[in-house]
Amino acid sequence: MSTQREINMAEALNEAMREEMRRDPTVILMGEDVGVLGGVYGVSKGLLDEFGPERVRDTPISEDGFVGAGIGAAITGLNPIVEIMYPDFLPCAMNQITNHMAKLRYMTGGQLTVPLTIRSAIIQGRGSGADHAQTLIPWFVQTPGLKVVVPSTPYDAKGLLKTAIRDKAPVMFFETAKLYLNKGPVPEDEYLIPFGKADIKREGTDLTIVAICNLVLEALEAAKELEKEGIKAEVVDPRTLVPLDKETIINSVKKTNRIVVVDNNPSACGVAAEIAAIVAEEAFDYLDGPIMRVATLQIPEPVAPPLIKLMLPNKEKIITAAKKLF
Amino acid sequence: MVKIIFMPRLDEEQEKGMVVEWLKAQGDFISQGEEIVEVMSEKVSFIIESPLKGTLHKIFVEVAEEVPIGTTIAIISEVEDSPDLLAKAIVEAEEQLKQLEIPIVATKIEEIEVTQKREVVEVKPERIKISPIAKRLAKEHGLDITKIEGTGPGVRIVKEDILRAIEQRRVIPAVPEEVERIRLTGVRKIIAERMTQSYQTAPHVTVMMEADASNMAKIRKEFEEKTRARLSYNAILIKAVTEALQAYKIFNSTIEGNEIRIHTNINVGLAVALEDSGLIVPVIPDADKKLLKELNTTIEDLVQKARQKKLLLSEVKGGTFTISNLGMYEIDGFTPILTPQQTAILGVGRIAKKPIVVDEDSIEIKPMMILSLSFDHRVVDGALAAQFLRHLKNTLETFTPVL
Repeated sequence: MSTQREINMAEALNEAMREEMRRDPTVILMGEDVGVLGGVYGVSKGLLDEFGPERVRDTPISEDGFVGAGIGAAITGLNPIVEIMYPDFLPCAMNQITNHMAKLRYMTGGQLTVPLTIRSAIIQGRGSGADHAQTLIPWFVQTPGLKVVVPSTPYDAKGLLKTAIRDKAPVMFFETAKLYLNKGPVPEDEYLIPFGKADIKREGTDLTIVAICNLVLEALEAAKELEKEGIKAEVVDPRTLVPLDKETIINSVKKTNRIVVVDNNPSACGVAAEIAAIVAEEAFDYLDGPIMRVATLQIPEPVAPPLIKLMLPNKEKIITAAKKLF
Repeated sequence: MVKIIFMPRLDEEQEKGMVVEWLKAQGDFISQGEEIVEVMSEKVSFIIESPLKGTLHKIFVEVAEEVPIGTTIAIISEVEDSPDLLAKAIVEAEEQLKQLEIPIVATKIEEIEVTQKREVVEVKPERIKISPIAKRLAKEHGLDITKIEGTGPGVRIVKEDILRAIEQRRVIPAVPEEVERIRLTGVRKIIAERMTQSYQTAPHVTVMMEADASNMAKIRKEFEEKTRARLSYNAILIKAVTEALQAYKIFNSTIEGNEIRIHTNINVGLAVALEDSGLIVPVIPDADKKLLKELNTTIEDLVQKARQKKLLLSEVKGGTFTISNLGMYEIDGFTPILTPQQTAILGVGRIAKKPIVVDEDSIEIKPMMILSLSFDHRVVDGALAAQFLRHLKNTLETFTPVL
C-alpha cells in the first residue's frame, strides 16, 4: 500500500467514479459537460472514453429533466451519478429532489429505492455573482430522506463518493471547486469512508472548531495562528451532515469546553445553527463560554472581492470569534 | 374597642421578642385578664393577659417567630367594633410586618451567612455570570460562587476559576469543613454578646485560693439533721460571700465612667447551666438578709424555674455579684468572666479529698475546694482581692451561720 501518493481532489473524485463504474456496470454518470469536456473542472475526465456514451451522458441544460431521468433510472435498477454544475442550479430541480428523490422510498414503504447521487461544485466567493455563489446545503439538510456529504480533502472526497455511489439512499454530494486542485495523500488501494463519522483534522485541548468544506482549511489555518498565542484548537470536520456525527463533536466540546462553528451558509437556520443547538442541548454543562458561530452574512453574495471578504467566513473571523472565548 | 397586642419589652437590652406559645386560638372568646400568649425575650418569658373582654380577632406572629418589640402580634376585638376600624388595624399591622427588615421567620441559615457580593458590571448585582461547566463544577465541589472572582470575558466565572479555587482549597486544608451551622439566637446570643462586652471592657484578673470544706460539710450535716431537708453548698457559699462583701464593700460595686458605685443591696447571682447548653443567672436579692434556710429554698426555686425557663424578668435583674459553681463537673479551678456591670465573680471548684500538711509537719486528709475570684482591675487590685478571698476562705472554714 502506497499511502505516500498525493493527488488532488478532482483526481480523487475521478478515481472514485472510475473505480465504482468498473466495479458495478449499473453505475452511470449524467450531467452538463461531463462527457466530451470531462467536466468543467475535469473531474470526469476520461470516463466517456473508458465507459462510452451509454454510461457517461452529456445532458441539455435542463436540470429538472435530467435529475428526473436520474431518479427514474435509479428506481429502475441503475446507480446513477448526476452532476449539477453548481448548487445554484439545484433549485431548477427542487421538485424532483425534495418530492421524489428524497421521498419515494419512504412513500412506497421501501418498494422503490432511489440510489441516486447528485454531485455539485460550490463556487462561492469567486465573484461570479449572487446566483453562482450559493451552497444551499441547509435546504437539503432540512429535507428528510436525503444524505448530505461535504468533504474537505482528496482522501475524504474519494472515500465518501464511493460510499455515496453504493448507498441505497439518495445522496447530495457537495464538492468545493476551489479545493479541486488541492493535493493530499490518497492511497492507491481501495478504501471507503462510512457516513456519519467525523474526522478530527487537528487535535487540541482548549477550543473546538467545527467546519465544513473549504472552511476546514481556514479553521486549520486559524488553529495554527491561535497556537502561537497558546490556544490549542481542535478542528473537527463532520464530513457528512446527514447523518451527523454528534458524538465526536460533543466529546470534543467535553474536552475543550469551548466551540466555534464555521459555516459556509447564512447563520439563520444554517448548519452552524444546528450544531450549536445540539451542543447547547447535549453538552451544556461542559461549556465554558457561549457557542460562537462564524457564518456568511445574511445577504446575496456581492461581486467585488473586498465585499466578498466581508461576507464569507475566513481564518481571521474564526480567530476573532475564538478569542472572544478566552 | 379594637385592642392591639404588641410584642412587649421585657428587658432593657431587648430588641426582639419571640412568640413561645399562643394560649388562645384566633377567633377564641377571651375574658379580661385571661392569658393569651407567652412571649420570650432573650432571657425571660412572659405571659400577656388580655386587657379586655372580646375575641382574639387575628394573630399576626406565629410560634417561634421573632419580631422587634412594638410589633403588633395580635388584635383583640369587641362585639361592637366597626368592621372598618378592624380592617384598618389589620392592614396597618400587616404593613408593619412587611416593612420589617429583619426576617420574621427564625432560623434561615442563608440570612446570617455573610456573603460577599461580587462586583460585576450588570444591571442586577445579584446575577453572577458563570459558564455552565463552571457552575456545574462549583456545585460538584461545593464551592460558593459568590466568593469566586471571574476572570473570563465580561468577568464571567469560567472553568479555570473553579479549578483554581478547588486547587487553593486543596493547598490550604487548614480551613475546616463545616459540619453544622447553629444560629446564634436567644440565650446563646445574649451570652455571646455580654461575655464579649465584659471581656473587652473590664480588665480581668483571677486569683485562686484553696479552702478547707470540712466546716461546710459540718454545717450541711447540722442543717440536715435539724430540718430533714437537703442543704445546697451554694447556700453556704452565698452566705459566706455576703459576709465577705460586707467586709469588702468595693467588691459589690459597678464601675460607670469615672465612678465606682458601691451598692447597698447585696444581690447574688448564681449561674445555672441549662440543658440546651445555655446559661442563666437568677438573682437572690438581699442575700445578706436571708437566713441559710431561706437562701436554700430560694436557690432551689430559682434553679428549677431557670431550668424550666420560667424565670420572670424581676428574677434575673439587679445582681451585684455572681457565683459560678462548676464543682459538680469536677472542675478544680477556673477563670470566670465577669458579669457586665459587676466588679467580681467567684468561681467555685469541686470539693476533693487531698493530703494537706498541717501543724508540726504532719499530713491530714481533708476535703479541699479551690475558690477562684475574677475581679475588675479597674476597680480593685490584687492585694485587696487576696484579702477578700482570704476573708471568704476563713469565713467558710470557721463560721457557724444561723440556720
